[in-house]
Amino acid sequence: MTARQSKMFIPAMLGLLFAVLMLSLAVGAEAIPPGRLLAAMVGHGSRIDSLILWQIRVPRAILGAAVGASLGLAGAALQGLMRNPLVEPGLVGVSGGASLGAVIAFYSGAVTSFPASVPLAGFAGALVVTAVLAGLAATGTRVAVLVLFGVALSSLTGGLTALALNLAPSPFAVMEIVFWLLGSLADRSMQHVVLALPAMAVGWAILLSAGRGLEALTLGEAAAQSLGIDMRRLTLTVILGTALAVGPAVAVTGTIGFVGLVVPHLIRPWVGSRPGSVLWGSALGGAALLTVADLLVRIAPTFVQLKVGVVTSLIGAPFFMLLLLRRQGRAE
Amino acid sequence: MWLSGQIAPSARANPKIASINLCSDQFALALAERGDILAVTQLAADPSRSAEAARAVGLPVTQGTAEEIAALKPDLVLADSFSDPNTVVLIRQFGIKVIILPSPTDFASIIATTRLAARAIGAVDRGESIVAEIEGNIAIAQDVNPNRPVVAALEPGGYTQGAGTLLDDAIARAGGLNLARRLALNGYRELPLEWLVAADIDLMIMPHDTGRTASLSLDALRHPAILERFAGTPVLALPANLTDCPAPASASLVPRIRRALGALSSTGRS
Repeated sequence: MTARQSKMFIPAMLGLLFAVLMLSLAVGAEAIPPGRLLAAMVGHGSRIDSLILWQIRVPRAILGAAVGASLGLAGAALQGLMRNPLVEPGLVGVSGGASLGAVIAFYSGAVTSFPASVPLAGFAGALVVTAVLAGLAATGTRVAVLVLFGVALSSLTGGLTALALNLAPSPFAVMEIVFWLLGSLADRSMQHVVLALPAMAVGWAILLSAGRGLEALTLGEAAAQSLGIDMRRLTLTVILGTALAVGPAVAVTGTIGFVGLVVPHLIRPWVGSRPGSVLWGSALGGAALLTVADLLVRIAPTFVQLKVGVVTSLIGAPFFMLLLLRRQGRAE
Repeated sequence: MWLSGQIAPSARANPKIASINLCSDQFALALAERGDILAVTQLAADPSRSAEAARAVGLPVTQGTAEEIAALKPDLVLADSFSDPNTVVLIRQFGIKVIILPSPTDFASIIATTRLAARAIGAVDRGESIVAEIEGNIAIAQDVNPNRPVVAALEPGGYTQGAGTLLDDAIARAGGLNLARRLALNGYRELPLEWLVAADIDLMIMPHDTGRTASLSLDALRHPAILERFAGTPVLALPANLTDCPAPASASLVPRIRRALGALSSTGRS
């Protein structure tokens, strides 16, 4: 990949993201013609058009892009830190840990007296799982074992989430497991944006700051240290950044799988494998991918609206299988 | 009065009955003598879920499993069409008669199910007096508002009850026009939030929310777009124990909705 192509990539991604975000604002259950939509955007729309745009579609678009960016960025950072192309927040239990934390805070009733307890608990859950995985990676655990351990953590947190929902006093809790395990952006509100976005943004900044360290790490740990990279510090940066980016995201949208796996792989052919550019590219790519997946959910003529995690799994799981088979082929 | 020996094998006494579903509990509790009820389910005595809770207090409860029922040796088991068919098969293998009450979708079928259960239990007279009470409640009012007020029936999780549901029947009998019906939504369906916000409605029906337990399903009804759009729209909170299980007590839905609609026209809303 030439440097010029790589330089053009970020503006091109920004353009694509802008386009799909506009599309996301234009598509919904209620058909609003473009003229009326534009009027609502500039504040001259009818009361109903403005309500639909600003209270329903805008928060959904913001959350889709922000959560997608979090998942893409965290996937790229985890893959860089563990030097393992198969890790991503959903697959290795980071999202599962976040979901477990959020579910406990939500259904215990903590949410009613202190709404921020849900993203905080999501952060805490993601932090624990990420730290366990990073600890294993630091002690030189084999790549395959690390991924399997993550898969086991994902099952464990999923099981505990189901248990917490079964014990919850609300008669609706058990049905709501679909939201927590598959994730959805439907009918979220500005309250959710306000609750999750600030922490997510801090997480992005922390993860993006790890670019240089992750770049040095591609040469191996010893080489990175000789370049003045403090491995402990780099590891802690990625753990904290991942937990801040993913935890609050999962707390307001449930666990949306595979975005963090697919996006860095799609980005690398365009920006090269230097983790610094992969981080930026994965943030933008994740935002665009999840926005598109959420558009598909709204356009799909299904009887009951699909959960967006279904779409990302349908894209992501075959992709994951392909990656595994390709690695297998290389190993032989 | 004993209808037939095939239903009540002893033919002298009423059958001893057990119910294995909250909805079949409602019919058992409304129709049977207390002494004839061997067991109901755990939720039957919870007034927020069960309209006949007062009658269920103190009765033995089960989780509705075949093992528990077999141990009770009832003459008759009442189940609901939503009961696990495997449980029903198992109970029948113990030689116990099981009647699966069809889950009613309107008031006519509540009356039919009431009569079916009454015959099986051997309480035909009691059944007929309950049917008369239901019919009194659901009679269509003569003085209906000619421009029928639009009623949106919001259910937890952003669902609504469209054509072919009990609440739709109740709204029609009370003189209202169900928004879901106007939007051509049949049965228990998702009501897209954008459609709701775009609609003009005169009355909103919501599940009664005690506010004690957090849930996404009830949060969906408090979306800021709904609160802002319908800030001035009257809300009728209906207890879940009348809507979740269509049963004789559900007949009081009609006068409740009719009163709420009457309050609209008296304040000149529609």
